[in-house]
Amino acid sequence: MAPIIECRNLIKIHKQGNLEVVALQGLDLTMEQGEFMSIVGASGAGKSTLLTILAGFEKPSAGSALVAERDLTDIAPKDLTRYYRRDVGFVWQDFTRNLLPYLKAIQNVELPLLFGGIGRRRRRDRAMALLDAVGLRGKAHAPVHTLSGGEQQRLALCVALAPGPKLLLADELTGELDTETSLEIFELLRTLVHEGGLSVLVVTHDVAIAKRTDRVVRIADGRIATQSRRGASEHVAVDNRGMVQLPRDMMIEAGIGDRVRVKVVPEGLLIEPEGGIDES
Amino acid sequence: MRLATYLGLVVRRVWAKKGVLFGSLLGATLVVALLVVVPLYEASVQAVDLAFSIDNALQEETDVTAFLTQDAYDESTADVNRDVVAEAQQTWLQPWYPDREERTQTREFLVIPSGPDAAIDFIALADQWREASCAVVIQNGGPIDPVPSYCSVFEDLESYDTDGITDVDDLPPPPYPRPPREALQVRLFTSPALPDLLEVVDGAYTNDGEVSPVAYEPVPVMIGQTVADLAGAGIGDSFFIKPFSGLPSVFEYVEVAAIVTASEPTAPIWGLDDPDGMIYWDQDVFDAWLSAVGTSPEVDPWVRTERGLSQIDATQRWRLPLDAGTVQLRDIAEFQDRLAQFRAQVARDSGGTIPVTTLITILIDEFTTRSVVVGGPILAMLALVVGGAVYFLVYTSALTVEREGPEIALLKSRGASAWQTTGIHLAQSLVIAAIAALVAPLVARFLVALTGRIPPLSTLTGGEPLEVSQVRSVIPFMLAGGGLVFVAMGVTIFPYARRGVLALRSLAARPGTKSVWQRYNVDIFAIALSLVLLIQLRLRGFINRSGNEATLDPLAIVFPALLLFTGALILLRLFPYVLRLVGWAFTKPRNMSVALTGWHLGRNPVPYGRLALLVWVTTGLGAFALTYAATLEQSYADRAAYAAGADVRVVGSGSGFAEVPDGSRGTPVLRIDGGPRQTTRRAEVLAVRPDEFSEIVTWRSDFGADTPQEVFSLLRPDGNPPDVGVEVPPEATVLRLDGAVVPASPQEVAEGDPLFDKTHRLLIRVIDAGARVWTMIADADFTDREWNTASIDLTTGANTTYAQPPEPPLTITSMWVERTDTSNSLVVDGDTILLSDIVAVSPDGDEVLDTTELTGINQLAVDRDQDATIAAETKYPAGTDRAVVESDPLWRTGTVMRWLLPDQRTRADSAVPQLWRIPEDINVLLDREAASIAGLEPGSTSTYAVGTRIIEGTMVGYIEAFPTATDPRLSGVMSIDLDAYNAWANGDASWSLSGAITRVDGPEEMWADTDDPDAVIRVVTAQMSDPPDEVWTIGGAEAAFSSRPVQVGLVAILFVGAATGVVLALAGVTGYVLLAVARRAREMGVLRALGFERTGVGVTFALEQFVVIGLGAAIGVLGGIMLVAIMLPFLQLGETATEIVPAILLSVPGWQLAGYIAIVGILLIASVLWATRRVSVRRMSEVLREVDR
Repeated sequence: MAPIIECRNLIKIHKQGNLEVVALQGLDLTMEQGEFMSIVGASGAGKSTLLTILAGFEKPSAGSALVAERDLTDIAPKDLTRYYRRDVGFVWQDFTRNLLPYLKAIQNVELPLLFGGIGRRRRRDRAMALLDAVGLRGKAHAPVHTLSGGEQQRLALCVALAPGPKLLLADELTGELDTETSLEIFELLRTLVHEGGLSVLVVTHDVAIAKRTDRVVRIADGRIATQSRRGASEHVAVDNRGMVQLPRDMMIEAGIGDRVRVKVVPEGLLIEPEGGIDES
Repeated sequence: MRLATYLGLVVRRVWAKKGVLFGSLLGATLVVALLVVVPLYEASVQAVDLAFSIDNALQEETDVTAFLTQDAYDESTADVNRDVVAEAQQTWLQPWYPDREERTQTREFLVIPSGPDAAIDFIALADQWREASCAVVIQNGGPIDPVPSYCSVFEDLESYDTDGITDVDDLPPPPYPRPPREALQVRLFTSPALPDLLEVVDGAYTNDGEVSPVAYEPVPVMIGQTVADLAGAGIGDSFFIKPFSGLPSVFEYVEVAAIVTASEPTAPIWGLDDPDGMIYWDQDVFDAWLSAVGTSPEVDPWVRTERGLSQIDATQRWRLPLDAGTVQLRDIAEFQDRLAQFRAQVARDSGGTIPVTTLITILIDEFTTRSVVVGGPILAMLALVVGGAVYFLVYTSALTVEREGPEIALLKSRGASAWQTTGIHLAQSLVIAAIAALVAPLVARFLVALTGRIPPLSTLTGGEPLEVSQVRSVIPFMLAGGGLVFVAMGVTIFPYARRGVLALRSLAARPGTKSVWQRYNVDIFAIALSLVLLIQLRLRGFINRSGNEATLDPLAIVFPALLLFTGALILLRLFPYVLRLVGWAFTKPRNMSVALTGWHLGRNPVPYGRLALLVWVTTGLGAFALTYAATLEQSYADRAAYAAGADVRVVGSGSGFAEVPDGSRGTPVLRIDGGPRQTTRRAEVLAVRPDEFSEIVTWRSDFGADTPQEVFSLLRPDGNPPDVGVEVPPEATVLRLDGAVVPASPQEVAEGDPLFDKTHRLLIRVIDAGARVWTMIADADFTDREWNTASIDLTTGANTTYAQPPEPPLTITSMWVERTDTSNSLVVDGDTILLSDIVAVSPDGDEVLDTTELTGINQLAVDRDQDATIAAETKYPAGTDRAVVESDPLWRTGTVMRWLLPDQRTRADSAVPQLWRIPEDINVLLDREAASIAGLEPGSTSTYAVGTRIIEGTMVGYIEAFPTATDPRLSGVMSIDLDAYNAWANGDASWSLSGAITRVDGPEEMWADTDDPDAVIRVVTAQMSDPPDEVWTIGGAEAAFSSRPVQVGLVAILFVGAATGVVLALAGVTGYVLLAVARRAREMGVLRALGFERTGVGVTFALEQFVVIGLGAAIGVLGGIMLVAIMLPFLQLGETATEIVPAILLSVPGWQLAGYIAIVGILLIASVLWATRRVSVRRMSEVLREVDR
């Protein structure tokens, strides 16, 4: 089965007047279908840029980005609309901006189906099913502004999932929610991934939240620094020049400073602090 | 996607945003209403203008008149003609001309008195003639057999002295009534409505016109009061009436049954006739008696077989009075068409014998032309309004779209296609446009009606609401307005429709930068296009004429709109640079709010351009309206002043010499045609007295100089009146001199030569201080018998047409002699005259006049130092005893002036031998046209034709325009010194001793400077022998120019435009500031978090807006004024589609503009402060929360 996301040597340069900022510097990323992945990284690392490229909101400067077998590097506007309608759902961080305030909850959910040309009955059934799944059935006809933050974000999730996308992209999905609600949302997503075959990619600052996903990818300086699977050791990326970027917390834990000693051992490569491993 | 569901979404969206969209709806409704207002208002004002034109027209101008003169009036033809007119009227003109007046009038009849008291009793004469004829028949038999029965009334016919006549045919013709030498002339008049037209003063109205079968009885008539007075006729009196020409036997004997007068003497049916000066017959009587009426010779004193007034010319005239209220603007075309049809049918049915005349077609043509021409500025105004309104809509719509950027982004990210996102916006625009289009006409009607209550239109409507005309053109305007709203609002979405989600999300926070116009240099292209249009319009004018129709050039409509558009684009391009400059200046003060304002303005000035543009457009609209109105008003005043020339101008024979009342100043002006170099194209020549005229004439600096003195002083560079002859001391009352005619030779004297014993009379031509020309004649002849002393009375002259006596000082311009004997036609014939010095006699003493400056012309040889003895010596042969010679009455010693006159001059020869002061070359001012035609420039010396005179002159300068010189038949203007011209035109002699004094060109205009025009008119006209030809006052002329409803309406609509500008500016600025508040919340929040005072935040924000609005308003005002300046050449065509003279000048109403700007400023400041308050009063937590987002 083809991966849902396959990015190769993805480069994105933002131009601000005469200044050029390289947001992504040859990022490679593969995500399998049905995977629940999170992307973490410091501010300016390039995670949001990656997300907007994957969402089709902007195009990469170089490299390739295939999502659901669509090449987003040179996608036509018509195909982009189809992409939104069939392949991808997106949830913004600001939950108030995921919804049209003048529509009721169910109407918001029906909106993408309306654009997709789905009939009324199917729209209504699909919307009710989604609302039921997130526990908002009872508030289907409530105006948006009467819903709490968590309810609005769950509703936003329904809206994003309404067309039945293969991939859900979420930017700081739970950033404005309390921990309890955040956990509820994540559990819901996990259920959808495991039961519905949905692929989910979330961008977050919150490492604790990220660890609840199947794979955590850490981005630093526009490249993937490390990635780790749930319950497995952390993977560190090696670029084509042999450069390795270690996560800061791992370096602190290992007492690694500016320089390291590297030696080949039977198990592979041993990286130790310049002063050697403190045996004590 | 299902359309219904989609529309449902649109409706939900519209409903959800009803607050914001209601503002857009209001704006859209206002825009459509403005569009609808223009045709509605134009039509309503035109309707008022039409009604005004018709109501103020003379009845003669609106009536339709048909008439026919029958060579021999007869009733049946009159009936046919009546039916022709009636049927055509019924068919074509009934709605507008429901009534018809008919009158029939004959040519003059002579009134011949009758009866015993008359000079000749024609009936008695007829009786005598009849008796004589009966006697001839009785005594001699003859062709009459048997003897007429009427002869039985005569007795003793056998012994009647027939004066030897034995045959009836030898009798003189019957003694038909003959008019006396000074017979009274009257016309017979009748009308079907005669009983209503007349009021009986004495007697009773009669329609009795039966022929009496038994006796010769008069026909009852009704006569006017004047006829009764002049004929001395009372009720029961009888007289004859006889046509001015016709057979002797055609006359009628009438008896006064009633003396009448007109029940309405000024009723139009009377036309120019005096109702009291006519004789009336009821229509039936008239019809009966203006044909041959059978009678019996038995009863007719003149033995006629028929009476009546057959073969009489009579004119039937029908007047169809207009029912003024029925002429509606919408029916004008049909009305004109039906008038033509009426005319055609009457001509067709009458065989071309009944012409139809009416002046209403001219009235309507003038109205139509005026509508087209005055419609120009209204359409320009429309273009401005449309331009401003479209920009307003696009602007506000763009603001809305920008605010909705995140929502559009959301829709796109949810799978909405470009068309689906634009569709929502378009459908929303369509809903607003549709509602606006439906509601706008109602709003427009209300606004238009309201203008009738507001000055200046309220002065015409009497404060009533303006009656709103139902015009079909409203529908296209309504649809166009709706379409325009839809396009203007809808089009704004397209630039955003293809934008990416992220770009859309950032719209609300980051306004756009460079406009599409600048990006593709559309502004440069638009400027080029505007220039091309401007050149085109300047070349071809803005009125198209094809045939008789004048239409507005479409370019004239496009141009202002394009100019506005171009100006806006230029502003958009340049404004950021101005703001950067201002921003830089604002960073200098230490005040934080000011500095922040400066930083913000300088950092990103581009977005402010749109706000400034809105203010520019709206204030520009107001400034345009106010400036245009002021320019128009000033032009009316200028045109009135130009047409009048002075406070008062009285034109007519003798007016130039009239005196004006105390407190006023007057100057004579002579108007004649002429021109330089005797070209075939004649110019209008105005001769003036420069110093006086300069004080009186109405003047504008573009007429040639800042003051008239600067221009007209060129005619008299030294300031003195021209030296035109020998000045007589002011106190002198008489001139006295001796003179004698030198006799012919002694031989001829001895032989009684016919030349001997001739007498001559001296005449002088004098010009007085009032420029009046006098011919004064000596009181005694000069003869060849003796020396005679002749006196010339200076207090009177041969020309007695002047109201006042000669006004000293007097100047003698010419002296000549004419023979006083009329034995032959020769007025001079080789005579030699000797004249002594001329002495001016005055109470102060005598003074000898120096006449050396007078020169002999026309073959008059003058010798000033001739020995006086030649008179006597010539009479005697040589060798005659000296004592004899010296004792002759012709003997005189000393020196005298000798005149040698040419041979055989008659009065037919206009070249009078005379002693003349040859006038100096005249100074001439020319306008550019006259100068260019003749190829002259200042300093050129040339000949000039003035009237019939050819004079020498020098062009001393240009005059650009001369008040009152508007004669379209003449090319250019020329001005000269009245006194200098007077010497040329009238200073030389013309034969005057017998017959009329010829060739005196006097000034026939009096121009006066006064505070009391009525007094001047009264006093001047009282001195004139005839009523004046024209009387002008500035006030009267201005009223005629500016009282037209279209002008008043135009001014009113301009003020509506100005008010519109304020409304648009308010709405736009408020919308902009509110959006800016939303955009700048983050910045303001940060400032507040940094400890910036709440007031400081408000001040910073408000200051920015004030700077932008202030600059925009300043540019707008300048732009509006400039637009009027650019349009001025197109406005030079006046309401009658003729070039306006004097040219319209830009008039900037400083105070009005200041007031307007103050009002706009206060309102805009209030709106900015209101919106700014929303920033400054927000809670810190609320603002910072917005920062997080």
